[in-house]
Amino acid sequence: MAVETYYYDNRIVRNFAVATIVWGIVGMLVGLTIAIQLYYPALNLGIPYMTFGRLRPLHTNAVIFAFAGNAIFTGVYYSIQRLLKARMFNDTLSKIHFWGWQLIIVLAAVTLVLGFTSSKEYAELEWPIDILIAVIWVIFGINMFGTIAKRRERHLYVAIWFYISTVVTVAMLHIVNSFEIPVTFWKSYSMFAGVQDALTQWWYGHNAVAFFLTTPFLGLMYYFLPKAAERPVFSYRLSIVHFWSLIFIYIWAGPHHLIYTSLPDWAQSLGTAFSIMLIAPSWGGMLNGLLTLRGAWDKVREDPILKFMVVGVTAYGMSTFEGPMLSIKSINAISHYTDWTIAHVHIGALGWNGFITFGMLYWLVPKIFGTKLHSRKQANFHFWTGTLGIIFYVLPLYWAAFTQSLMWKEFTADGFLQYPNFLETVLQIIPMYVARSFGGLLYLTGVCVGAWNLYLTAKSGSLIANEKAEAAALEGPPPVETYWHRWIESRAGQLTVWATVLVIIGGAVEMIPMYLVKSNIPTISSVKPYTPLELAGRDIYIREGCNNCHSQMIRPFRSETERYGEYSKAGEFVYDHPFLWGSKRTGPDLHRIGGKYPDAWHYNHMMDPGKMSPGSIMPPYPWLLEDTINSVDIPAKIRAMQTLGVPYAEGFDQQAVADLQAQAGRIAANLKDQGVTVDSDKEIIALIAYLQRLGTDIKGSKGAQ
Amino acid sequence: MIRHVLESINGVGIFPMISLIVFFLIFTGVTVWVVTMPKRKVKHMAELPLEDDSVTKGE
Repeated sequence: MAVETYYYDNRIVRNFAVATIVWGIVGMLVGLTIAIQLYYPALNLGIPYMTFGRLRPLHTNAVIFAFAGNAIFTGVYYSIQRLLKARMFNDTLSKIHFWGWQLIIVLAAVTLVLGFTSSKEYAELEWPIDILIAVIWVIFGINMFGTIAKRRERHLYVAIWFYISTVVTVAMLHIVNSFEIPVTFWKSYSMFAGVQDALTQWWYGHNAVAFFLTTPFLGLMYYFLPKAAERPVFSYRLSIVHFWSLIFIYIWAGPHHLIYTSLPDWAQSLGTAFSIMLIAPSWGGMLNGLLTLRGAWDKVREDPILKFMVVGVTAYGMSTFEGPMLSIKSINAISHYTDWTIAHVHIGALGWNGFITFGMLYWLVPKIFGTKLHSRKQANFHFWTGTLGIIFYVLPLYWAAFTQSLMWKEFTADGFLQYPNFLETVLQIIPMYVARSFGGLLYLTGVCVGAWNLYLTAKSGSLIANEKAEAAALEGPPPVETYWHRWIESRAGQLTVWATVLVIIGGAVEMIPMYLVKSNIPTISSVKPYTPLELAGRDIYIREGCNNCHSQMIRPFRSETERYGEYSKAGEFVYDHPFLWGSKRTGPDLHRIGGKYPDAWHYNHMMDPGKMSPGSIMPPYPWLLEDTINSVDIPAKIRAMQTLGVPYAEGFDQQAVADLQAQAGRIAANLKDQGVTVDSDKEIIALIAYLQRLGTDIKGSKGAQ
Repeated sequence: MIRHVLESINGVGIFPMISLIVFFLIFTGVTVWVVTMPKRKVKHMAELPLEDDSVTKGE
């Protein structure tokens, strides 16, 4: 057989590696900033673009899609060429993929701080960027499948299966969750409402964790861990079982994000059951990774790369055990809306994604620059500050979560809430927030040292842009094997299609009943669409990212109905495009805030929360008192809502602005009675209208004005 | 309320059954496939990530 000479493209690997480090530092810096803002809100410098509500989505998007995303591409572009014994399918596609992805990140950073957001977690980007993401992702897919097609190695290593499932599933998740009706260039409404929107969002959100932060990193683990340990994976057979059982169980577990919400019980139970089943494949994978090091533990003592990977895989094991536990109803009742969730995701993000990434970079950068790691000592320093950083990050948050949750649920002997003032439970955990930000600072310090170390490593060598390799061309019949194995393996393309179909069935089986329920969600006749002014206020709520700290979903517990009022019903959200249930209560739930305080209270509270609630960690929003309501887009918004089935009367879009002004006039007059003088065209008026409407529909006559 | 929602969907009981059967079949199929895989081939596959070092030479 003829031996062919070809060249691996290392330049694209280098580019993605640089992007990983740069965006990693940026994303973590934003994370540190908002961690400090939790106890020192003035850090936002009074600038709207710097408020927690806008920076939090920036942080999550930056670390998930910019840091972890570029890390995935670094590892995929490096490993896939070598595993397939072929250069990437097309250099131009590689370049478009790289620059397109960086463009998306920059656009995301700009639009998120400007308040252009869909409000759906980890899918906040508005529709033009959604389309760009889909295009660039498809280009990545073409480049990958093209490389697979021109490979010189007959068998696909298990890492490639993980990559394939990533490409296919992320495309599907992203597209379905981005179904939205554009109103203007930077504003859209989710096609789904309320309960359906929530289920779609968390089907997406959960599987983004599965297919963006788990499967590609498992692929990296299965490639780079054997590389670093210089021995094959513990059990290749186990890795295959790991793969198939993982992808098919993961796709079902999404509803565990909505336990005790208005989501129907059967969907919650489905989420819980599959989440608990997930322990098996997850731990299978973790053990497979750790056991790969059998007989090589002496190396772990020496080699910082292996140290990173061992702690990374262990963190994977910890968070995949914790996740299913958090899906159990009784545990979720304590953990949900608290900092426990934040601690949980950071075990995964800092430990698993972060440490696998750094382990990989320390291994790969010297290789592509044809040199040795600049300083093993610095890498060890990075490892220890990172590990301590994780511990200092998560332990205070676990403590904070338990403390706060127990305080929320504490009753006096007479049956009243022990801590009826929500703020009291926040002030109690402030020291934990301080400790957490110290942990984050430690971790970031390690990353900066790592970046410096890798920079000097690269400088000490020179990039081998095109690395020469030789392999025999793939020709002739496959070697004699059992019939079934040959039959299956010769149909890789069909297999991918069928696997995709099955994954789609997984999603459909879970969600179709929910869409069918649409007509069956117990309709509450008193629930009416928002008025144009309330809709404008709701969009301000979305723009400012209020949902990042305030939930709108009261669970059916006595501790919650005592504190907030009647628990939330599915039928109350039928006009909520998008849903705004939130996932974390840094501040109190707002679903029954309507009518609780006079309008003037809200005015003063938005101007300076500390004035109404001394010690409050909510930042002031003085610009809402100055800025004018955008009423130009109101007719278009009403029409978009009509398209989505919200029953506004025919032709209402033309009367909407007049309706808005009339209601704003009434609120301004009301405020004047309470001693506050403000023009009726200010944003605060719309926000007050929305807040005073919240949750009042089922209160009977004591409703909205 | 939730019971009512459930009952109003035609044949909702079939959905969890489908999911269980699909998962069971895949899991069984994969296990059988993996167990019957020839040892030589498993070894070859497992060693794929370690191969390129011996094949490639720097430019």
